[in-house]
Amino acid sequence: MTEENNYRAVTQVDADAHWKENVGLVSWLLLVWFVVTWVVALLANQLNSFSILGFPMGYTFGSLFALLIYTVMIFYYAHRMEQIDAKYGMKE
Amino acid sequence: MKNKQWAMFVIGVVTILLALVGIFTIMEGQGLIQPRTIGLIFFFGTVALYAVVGLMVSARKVSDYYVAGRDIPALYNGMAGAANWMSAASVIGLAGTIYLLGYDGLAYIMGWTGGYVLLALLVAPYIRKMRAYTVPDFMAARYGGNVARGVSVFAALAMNIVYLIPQFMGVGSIAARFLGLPYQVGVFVALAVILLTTFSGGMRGVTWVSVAQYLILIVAFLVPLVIMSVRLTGNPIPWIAYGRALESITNFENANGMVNYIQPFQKMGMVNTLGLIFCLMVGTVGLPHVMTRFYTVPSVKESRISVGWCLLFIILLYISAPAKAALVRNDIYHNLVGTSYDELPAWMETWGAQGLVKTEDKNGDGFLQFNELTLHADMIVIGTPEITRMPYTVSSLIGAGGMAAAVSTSLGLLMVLAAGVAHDIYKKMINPDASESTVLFWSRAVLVVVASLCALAALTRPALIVAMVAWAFSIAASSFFPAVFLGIWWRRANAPGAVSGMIVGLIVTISYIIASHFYGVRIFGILPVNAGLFGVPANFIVTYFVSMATAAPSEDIMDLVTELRYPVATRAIGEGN
Repeated sequence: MTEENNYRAVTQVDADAHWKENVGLVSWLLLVWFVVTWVVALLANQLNSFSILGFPMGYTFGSLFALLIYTVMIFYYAHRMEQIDAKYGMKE
Repeated sequence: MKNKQWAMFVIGVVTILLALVGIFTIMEGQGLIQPRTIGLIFFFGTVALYAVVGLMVSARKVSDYYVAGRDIPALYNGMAGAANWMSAASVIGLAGTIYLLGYDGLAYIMGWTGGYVLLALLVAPYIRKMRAYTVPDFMAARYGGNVARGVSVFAALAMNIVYLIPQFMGVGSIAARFLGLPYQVGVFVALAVILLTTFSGGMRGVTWVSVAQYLILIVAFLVPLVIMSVRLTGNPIPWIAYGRALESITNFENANGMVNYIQPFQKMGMVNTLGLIFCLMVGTVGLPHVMTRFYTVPSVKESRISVGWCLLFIILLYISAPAKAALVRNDIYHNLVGTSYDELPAWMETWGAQGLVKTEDKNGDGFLQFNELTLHADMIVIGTPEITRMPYTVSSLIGAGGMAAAVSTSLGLLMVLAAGVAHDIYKKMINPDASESTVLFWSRAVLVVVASLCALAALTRPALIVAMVAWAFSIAASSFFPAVFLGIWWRRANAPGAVSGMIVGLIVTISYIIASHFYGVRIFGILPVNAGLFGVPANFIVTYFVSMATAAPSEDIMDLVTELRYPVATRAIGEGN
């Protein structure tokens, strides 16, 4: 646990702005997560009346699309956070 | 350089594995090798591989033993995490669970993947920033002191033991099948295999071994799936091909007046299906062996992306399980249902003898109907090669894959346990002056004792593998999640709040599991796997009110929480512990 700390001079204003953008991004992504998981599950029966290549949409959201969206969301978050870190001088 | 080594390793393992499958399939076809011998080769060959890899990269320092000096590239860390994550329940049990439950079975898939979103957004980068070795380290740093540490070691022990027992059951039955031993003897073979692999290295060794295990389990799952997809649909891409299977399933069901496979909430009901998604997701964030994976990366940035890699490797299996389930279900509807009882295929008798297949001519017409056939969930994966007439080599490969999954999960869990007792209790609370070799000795001693106890418990098969794994998630969700989540996102959360919350969450969840599983008690019809639906809110409520009723945390701790928000150190902070 004795890792070398490289302290960075970051102003309070930048630090607060960084946190605010982080929280904003997280909130948006959680909203997507909520809709993809819970709202879609509740509507699965209705969505099942549409199908593509035989795939009923309600079922396929649970078995395929939701999983792909989760993964893309995490990579997107990592990518956006890197940009936000750089913007406020907190690049590692 | 580092990356190149890892890439070579991955390509090497996959190539050798596929080559072996090809060679054995040909030899088997020519009658040059006994099927039983192939099973033995896959069993002992993979065990030897884990032991050798572990020994080649074994730990030299305590920090190596726990977190590999934090120099594992994110992609391979993710692959190793995926192996630790996917247990016997995922590889062997999942496709069958979906086959049996239809839409409701997808709760496992969504729950076990959607939790990673919470982990990535709410926990992983901050945990990495904290620079703790273990979850109890995090608790001690955040909630200042040994009480938080002690309670969280206890909680980690509880959930790990509940999680470990079904892994021993999984390896036990695979060992029994491939070595032709009774199940009870298989469990002890499992114990020997797991101890051998764990002893041969620390986290660094575990990481290499886990990467190999991921490759074996994913190849073992995908090879039969692709063969099946080609044979049953003519399309080699199962993820596209199974749409037509779903369509044909629905048509068959409509024509025969059956409940639809794709229709939600038919088997578990809405509350339990959605509840299970919730418990598994939140439990994912609370599991200490998952969190530990994200300490092993070199930076906060890498920890964010590492979760993504991990999930990518996980969903490769999880999007395949529903495909396998649908292909098998469609095949059974069209090729098995309606068969005369006199002409049932041979595999039904073989597996029937082991109690995995049951048939009963309920309407006495002499022909098999769908509701007259009972398949055990594990049959769908283990039995596919026989159901679709594939060579025994493929069965052996599946056995090796299931074992890889169970062994790698056990490794991850045992490492956390050993770290918990040796590092968190012995070194931090009992003997702070202990030398590195003493701590290593204690961690190994704990490992042997706990693994043996779990093996003994596995002998009695207390519940289904998938059910016991889900209990562990409910326990993790209701003990660690609130303390970790609030610890990061709510500065006002304090030690009395977190500790009493963890204790209440644990008691509520474990009591409900015991009362509902063993004594049939049901509150609002909630199943035992969803015990976390009571434990999680109980923990949050207790943590909130006790925190508010007691003094705010010290300035230092509040500053530490603020500091976690930033990926780089912005001012002098208290050390991780």
